[in-house]
Amino acid sequence: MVVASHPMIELRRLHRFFGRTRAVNDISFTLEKGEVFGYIGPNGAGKTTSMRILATLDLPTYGDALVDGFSVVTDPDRVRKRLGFMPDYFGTYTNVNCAEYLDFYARAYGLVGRERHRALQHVMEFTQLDALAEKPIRGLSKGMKQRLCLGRSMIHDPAVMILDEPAAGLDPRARIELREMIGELASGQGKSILISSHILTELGEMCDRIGIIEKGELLAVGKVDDIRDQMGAKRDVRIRVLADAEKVVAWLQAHDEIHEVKQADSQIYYSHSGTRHEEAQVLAQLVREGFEVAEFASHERTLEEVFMHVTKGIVQ
Amino acid sequence: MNSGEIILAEAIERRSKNPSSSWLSTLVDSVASQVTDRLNPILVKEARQALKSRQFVVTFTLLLIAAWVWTLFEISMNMPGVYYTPLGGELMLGYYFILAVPMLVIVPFTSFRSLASEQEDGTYELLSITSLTSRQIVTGKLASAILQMVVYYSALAPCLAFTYLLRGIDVATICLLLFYTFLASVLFSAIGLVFAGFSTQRTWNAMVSVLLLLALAFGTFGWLVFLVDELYDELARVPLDAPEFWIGNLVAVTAYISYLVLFVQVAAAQNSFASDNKSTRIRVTLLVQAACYVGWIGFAFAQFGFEPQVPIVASFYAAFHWMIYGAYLCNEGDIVSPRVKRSLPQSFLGRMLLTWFNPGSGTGYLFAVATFGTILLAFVVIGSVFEVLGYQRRWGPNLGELVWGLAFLLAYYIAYLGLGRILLRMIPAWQRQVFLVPILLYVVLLILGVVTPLGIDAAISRNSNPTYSALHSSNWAWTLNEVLDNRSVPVAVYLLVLGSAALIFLINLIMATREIEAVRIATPQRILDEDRSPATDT
Ligand SMILES: Nc1ncnc2c1ncn2[C@@H]1O[C@H](COP(=O)(O)OP(=O)(O)OP(=O)(O)O)[C@@H](O)[C@H]1O
Ligand SMILES: [Mg+2]
Repeated sequence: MVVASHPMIELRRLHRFFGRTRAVNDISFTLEKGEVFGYIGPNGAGKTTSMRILATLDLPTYGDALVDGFSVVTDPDRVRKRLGFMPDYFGTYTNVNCAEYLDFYARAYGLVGRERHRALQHVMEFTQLDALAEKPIRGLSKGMKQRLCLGRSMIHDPAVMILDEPAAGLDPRARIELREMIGELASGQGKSILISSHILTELGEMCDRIGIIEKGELLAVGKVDDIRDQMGAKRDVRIRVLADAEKVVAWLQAHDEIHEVKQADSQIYYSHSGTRHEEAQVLAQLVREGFEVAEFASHERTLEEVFMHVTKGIVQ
Repeated sequence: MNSGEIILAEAIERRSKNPSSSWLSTLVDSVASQVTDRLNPILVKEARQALKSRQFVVTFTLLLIAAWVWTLFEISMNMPGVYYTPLGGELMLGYYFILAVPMLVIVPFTSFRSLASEQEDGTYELLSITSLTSRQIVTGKLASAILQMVVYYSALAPCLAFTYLLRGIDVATICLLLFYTFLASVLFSAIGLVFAGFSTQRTWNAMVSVLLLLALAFGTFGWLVFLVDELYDELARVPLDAPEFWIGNLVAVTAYISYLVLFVQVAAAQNSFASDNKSTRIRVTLLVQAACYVGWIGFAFAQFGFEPQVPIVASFYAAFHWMIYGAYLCNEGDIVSPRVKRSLPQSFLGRMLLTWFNPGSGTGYLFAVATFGTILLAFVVIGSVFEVLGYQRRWGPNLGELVWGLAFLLAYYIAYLGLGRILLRMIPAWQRQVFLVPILLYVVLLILGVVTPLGIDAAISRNSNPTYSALHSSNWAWTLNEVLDNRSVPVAVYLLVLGSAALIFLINLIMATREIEAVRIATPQRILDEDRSPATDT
């Protein structure tokens, strides 16, 4: 057994231009075995483009991407063997049912005999498609198609999976199941998974690390907590005072660890970058100063808020 | 475990999962899956689809109905005579026309649509990232086409047996007719797959479809006319005992195989990944085809005597082919991918001999010129051998005229192909992906070469009946005609034609230096590691 000295996915200064549009503009990151990496960004950020390059369906204008040490530019045939790709569209054939569809891809990936039957059975069970085996795929609902698509991308037991918005169109229950599936694939089977989504709360929960991308550039990479820390502000605080709101605002603004103070009538909002103890100290001081604090509520920034904070919503 | 044991083990495994099914059906299932494992996955998928497809059922039914209508019509027209006149030949011809439409138009066009629609629907992308190579995809599509043909044949099988019973046609003729139609259908389907590779860009889709349909209709028409013309008189009996018949068949089969292999390789190359070597195999095929061609022409000389007209006709035929091949080769990109560089020849001799097989438009141009030149040289050599052996010459140019004629032909080839290549470089690569673009460019170039001097001449001399002069040097048709008819051509023409060919060749050679100088690069360690121990998956 050779110990892998290389990451499972590596993007090296990846660029992809379409005319003047810089769909991917100098993106680099790596992904280790068994890791789940979440790709988030507004529409048109370049997520699909970079994923398609990784899946050997497009070529970089400049830079390279490696899967298990093999370049997608020069050795796509080797990359394809260890890569499962779930695109954001769904290619269907007429007159084919679910079982035949999966069987076809299993054959196309070179699985034969009992190996193929096992792979099919495993995938059907895993994606809970058993009951739909005989159903023609043209008649499947969106969520069922998503499952079938996921099933297809994992039929050959790839070491690396690239899932482009797999949760799109799934009902809440299916989403939770998808999250469990992905957890199982990563921690149970040791697959490296790159996943893009717009549903940030979910991504935050299932990903080991995330990358925030906008206009083809990677704005932040790391664990969700780390990115939150990098952004400075950790918690958003809301207080309500019975009187002297203006004075409270002035008092708060004098503190270093307090940012973005806003006031609406008796409500005051600010964000706090210190520890929870320091936050409690602020409350204690406010009371000591004689302000009449009626309410004091704080909550951690969600990924969504971090996302809104980092990106600017510029569509190119 | 041998395969028998595997089948049994599988049956047991299946039965244990699904105890309600019978032993027999599980065993049949297992045998079927063992057999289909060896087949191309695309064939398996499309066979399943075809069984449920409406188009297939409709064609099949129409075919049956047409065959029955024709049978009843023929019999009722000849009613009392059916019992004593041999009707087989006539009846067969009718079936043959009925079969030609599905075999030569519908099946090839279905192959084309089948591959083209995969590209439109995005399923081709999903297919391309599986372990299937682009060649497997193409041969899978071809195999599906063959499956359809077999089904259509079997629909007509009772009718064909009936023709035999009615006498007037023998089994060998029926089989030969069906076999050749089958071969034509496979070839047309391969052409359909090549066309599918052209239409990756939506804008060209409609045009490519129409062009293909026209080509297929034309091909079918030609095929039927050829058949009626050649075979109808002797339809009853092919001359199985005549050696010419078999030699003719052998020639046809050699040509057939070389074209079929070529089309499959072109279709596969169009669909494979960017850094793959898309050229070497095609060039080897072209070389083998050229060798067969020269060989058969030489054989024809030996067999039928020296007719100087033969090498000239053969040269023009070769020129037509190599203009198209040349356009294809010159349209390749000019960057040698790192993937290809890993396996470049390293020795001096290897570089000398094999560089021309490397991908790239520059080496492609040189390859085309070298091969076409060698074909012409071979004709000259064959011609002189027969001249030396003292073969009688009945008509046509003498050896000297032949040599000069072919020299001019080669010069024009070098010049026009090279000029076209220089112009092609100016069109962005993505715009000339569709092979129609270079073809169009060359056609325009060749026409301009003829028309421009004619126009100038007419404008200057106001003579509706121009005479040949150096002005017409670029008019390849006229110049070649003059040279081959042994009329004295001005010295300036020699200088202009041969000189510009040399110049254009030199420019192209200089443009190709980067390709020629490409040297082998080391294979990445990761790949060597995997190749050494493919089993250890990380
Ligand atoms: N084939 C193409 N030709 C031209 N421009 C393209 C092409 N594909 C993508 N783009 C452009 O590249 C940019 C990035 O697109 P991409 O599909 O990667 O975004 P995305 O992050 O996946 O967005 P979404 O969240 O909407 O799926 C967009 O501006 C898009 O218009
Ligand atoms: Mg997208």
